[in-house]
Amino acid sequence: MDHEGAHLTALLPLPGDAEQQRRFLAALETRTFQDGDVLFREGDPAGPMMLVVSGNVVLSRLTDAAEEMFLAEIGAGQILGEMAMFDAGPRAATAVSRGTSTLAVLGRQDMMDMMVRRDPIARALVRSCAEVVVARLRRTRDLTRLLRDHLAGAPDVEVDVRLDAILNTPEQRLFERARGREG
Amino acid sequence: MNLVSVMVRCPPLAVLPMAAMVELTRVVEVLKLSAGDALFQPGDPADSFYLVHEGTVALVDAQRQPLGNITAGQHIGESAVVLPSTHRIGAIARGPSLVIALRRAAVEQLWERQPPVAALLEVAFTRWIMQDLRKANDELLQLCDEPLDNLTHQGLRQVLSGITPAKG
Repeated sequence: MDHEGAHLTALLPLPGDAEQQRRFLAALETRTFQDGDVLFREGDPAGPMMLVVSGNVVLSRLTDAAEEMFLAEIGAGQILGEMAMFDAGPRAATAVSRGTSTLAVLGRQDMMDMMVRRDPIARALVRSCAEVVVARLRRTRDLTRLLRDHLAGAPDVEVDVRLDAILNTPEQRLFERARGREG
Repeated sequence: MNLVSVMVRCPPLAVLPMAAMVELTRVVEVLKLSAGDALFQPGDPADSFYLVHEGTVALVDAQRQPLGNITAGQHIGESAVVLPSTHRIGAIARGPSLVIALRRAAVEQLWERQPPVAALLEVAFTRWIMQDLRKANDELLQLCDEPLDNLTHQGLRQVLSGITPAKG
């Protein structure tokens, strides 16, 4: 099994004000999916980033025991697949439309072109994705150090204090915001 | 020193097109350090990428205990340029050293003057950091194969309880 943190989409909300979002979305191709339609499957080659314009998308992946594990349900204004901007690895989850959903599709080159044209949303999006990757890295390293020290016999009190510290860092809050668990 | 020929050998930067690399050399700083000079101390803002060109820089913890060295050709700080934070460790020159520094502030200026270069740089650094994330994830998997992302403090504590620590 792979830790979710390595590959899962960041589930970021679309940055910018309403007018910036409107101009950004107007430049993108949109696709409509019906209930149960598969947007992409776990293991598929990397594809474009997608922004949920309306409707909902359910993300899941298979456990080592080949059971489907629900990961998240994302809705309008949220993003999936943005890590394809940085990583050509396969899709880390399966995405299925719940009800009718409309998504705007943004390929890597489209994104780079928009950044070059100084589109504020494109730039904010790339920056947000990058920040989430860094937040995950720091969190993963902190947890690894903590686990190692725990295995080496660190006192429980110390472990609790350090767990609190890890779970209250700005990176953790960024991480949870990206996971849709904060406003 | 030919900055382009030095920086083009740095793996996170090597993916940049030559024109972008040339622009980047215009915004980096070259730091000359003597033995004992601190590149940064614990508690300093972490907002720069450093590439050691000559010499050796020792990494130390807050108690100045050695953690390792970075030598010519090695680098540190890709994450700091993307998401600034605070240094938890220090970096001290062990002897005369030349270090190339790319500050986040310089990258912000690059966004204004040369957005294509800034965009390529940010994507290049993030791609590199994702490789680090994969390695970090593999290390964590060696210790624990439970998914940890969605756990609260209590949940993480339960996972730890299930992993038996060594008894001294």
